[in-house]
Amino acid sequence: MNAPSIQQLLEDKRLLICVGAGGVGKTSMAATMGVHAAMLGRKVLVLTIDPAKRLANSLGLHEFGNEETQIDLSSLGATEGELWAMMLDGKHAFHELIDRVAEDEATKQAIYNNNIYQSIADTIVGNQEYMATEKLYDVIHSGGYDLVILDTPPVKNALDFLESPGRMAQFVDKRIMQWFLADGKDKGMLRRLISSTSSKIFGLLGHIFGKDFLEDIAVFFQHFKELYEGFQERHQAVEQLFRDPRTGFLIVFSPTEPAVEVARFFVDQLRVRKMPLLGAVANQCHQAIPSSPEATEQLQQMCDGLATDLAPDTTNRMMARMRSAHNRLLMLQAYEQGLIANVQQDLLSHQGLHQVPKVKGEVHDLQALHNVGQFLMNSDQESATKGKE
Amino acid sequence: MKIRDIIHSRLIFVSGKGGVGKTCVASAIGKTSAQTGKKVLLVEVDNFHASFPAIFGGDMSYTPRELESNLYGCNITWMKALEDWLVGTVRVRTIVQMILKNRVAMLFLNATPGAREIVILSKIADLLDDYDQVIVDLPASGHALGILRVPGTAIELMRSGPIYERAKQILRVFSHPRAMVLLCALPEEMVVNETLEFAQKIKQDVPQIQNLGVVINRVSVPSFNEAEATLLSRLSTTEPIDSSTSIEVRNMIDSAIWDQSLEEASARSIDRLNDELGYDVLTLPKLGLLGGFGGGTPKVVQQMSTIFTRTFRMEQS
Repeated sequence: MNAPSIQQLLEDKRLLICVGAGGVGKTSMAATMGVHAAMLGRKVLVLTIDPAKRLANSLGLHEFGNEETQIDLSSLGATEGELWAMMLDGKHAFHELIDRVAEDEATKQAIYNNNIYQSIADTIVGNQEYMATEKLYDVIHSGGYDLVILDTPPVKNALDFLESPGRMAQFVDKRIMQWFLADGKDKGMLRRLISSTSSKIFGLLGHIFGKDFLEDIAVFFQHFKELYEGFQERHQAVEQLFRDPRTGFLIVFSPTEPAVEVARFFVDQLRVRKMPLLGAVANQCHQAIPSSPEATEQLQQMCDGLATDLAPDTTNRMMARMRSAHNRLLMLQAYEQGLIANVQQDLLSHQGLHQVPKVKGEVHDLQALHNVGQFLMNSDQESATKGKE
Repeated sequence: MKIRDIIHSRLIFVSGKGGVGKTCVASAIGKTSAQTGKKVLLVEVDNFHASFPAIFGGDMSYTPRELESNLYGCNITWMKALEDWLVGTVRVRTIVQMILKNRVAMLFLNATPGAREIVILSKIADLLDDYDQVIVDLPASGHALGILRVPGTAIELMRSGPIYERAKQILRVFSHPRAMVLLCALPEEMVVNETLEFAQKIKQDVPQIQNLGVVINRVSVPSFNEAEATLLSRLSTTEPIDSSTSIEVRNMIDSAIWDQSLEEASARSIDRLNDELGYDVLTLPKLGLLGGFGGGTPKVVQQMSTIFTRTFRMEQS
């Protein structure tokens, strides 16, 4: 089975999720695909987390807000499609979520004022992975877009993102809640459900965490009881979304050891979790072409011609410098291709590996994004020709 | 900042953006300190894939193991640290086992915000008693900040109990005059931005830690003279006459431009960091066959350590 081209993915899918190590150009790659999908006529939303400000600026925005913002593509030519971008703001999104699932104003306020909530807002929410999945659910279900491209946060433990839908649900697990609720006001029926071992352990945890803390948690759960169903529902919906046939993951990596390690880890974990991996993009690849004696000869002549007014040894120095730099570039390229081959080995035949060369300067305007996209599209043609040979 | 400030530190948290060479720098500092006769411990935190073995060989277990003379290493995993911590707090092993075997209790411990970090930091604080220097190879910036912030949050949250007491102790360790955060950076604009942001956040969110240093790795030293720079800029705008070899010619010119741009980026990055931090950052040159692009190897770590040792001796004399 042939791997689908990036263009096909941009045309067919409803949700594309870019994953990978930090610093490999995930945000740029997500934006690049967004630009191209829009040029193909689709209505696209790129959801990103804390993009380099320059990227936001170059997309014609002062700053991304928590609101969806349309990007003007007129400089690239006419298209039926639209490109929208949004930056995720964890705290804001969490408030929105509470507002939505809380039944009344009193519950809402009680939750906002709770110590535990404050801490969760700092830790779990500061953990943007969780909020990314939350927001994802919203935009997909709003039905306003043909395609959503999600740029995931860099992850310390590559699992964080895949597991994040369950994080909140885990904390408000029914069994944990029962402990606390049984100890709180609803004494009686629930209390009887707790075995003596459990209550002993509960006592111990009280000893470890301090009574005040456990009381705070009890109050928190008391208010959260109503929210519980909402969280569970979402958790399941997002997990389902991850496995939907029109959803796909793309691993973005740069040809460096740590990034390749993370990439291979993702290949493995996505397989274990039965989440659809569409392929991988090797970004920032150095490109070197071996030099023939004729080329060196021509270069020598060019130098001679251009250096007539410069110090006499300049040509020789420059030639030596270019030879050595070029040799290093060739070695680096060979090394990088070796790393990329390791990732290729892990992929199945329907999962393409696309290479994008390192471009000069930083990618921070629409035109640069569009150019990078050209490489992505061309990489498909190259692999298609290779397949025929 | 001087190398000696680092070598004389009791506790060093090493962090920085992913892929900048944190583990290499941490290892090289460890080697250097160990050679001055200090008993040094390298710590990695709950790594699903331990990274010190690539440099020192062997395994990295929870119990510290001697990697080289005076230099020890360990990987503090959450479950083992939790068990240690529970034994220290509850004191009765059978009760500890009961907690560890109870699914709901574990669910709760796993999900309670901050529990993991407190337990791991607590273990690091304990280890300080047995070593002259402890170097912690923290995860990349964002997550490292999350870990270091936890004791402060826990104090506000718990208000009493063993975790509260423990968090207070950890903050006392943080505020030791010879505890520091060492950030690794690269001479790239995005990395410099993130490093400065991280430094700012550490000051704000973990004010207990008084010392903050920056090492900028893979620095290219200026080597182009004026005539070469002029020639290169002329070459870059001249079309090769013979089109059959022009791609090759272009690629050779591009490799020299690549070198030049790394040198320029290095100078810019160092200036900017020095400027905004208000002191001189430490620099490490490009090392290894591929100038650091090939990742860290035992040899690169050895070279870094040689540089640190040489600079340290110069500072002493």
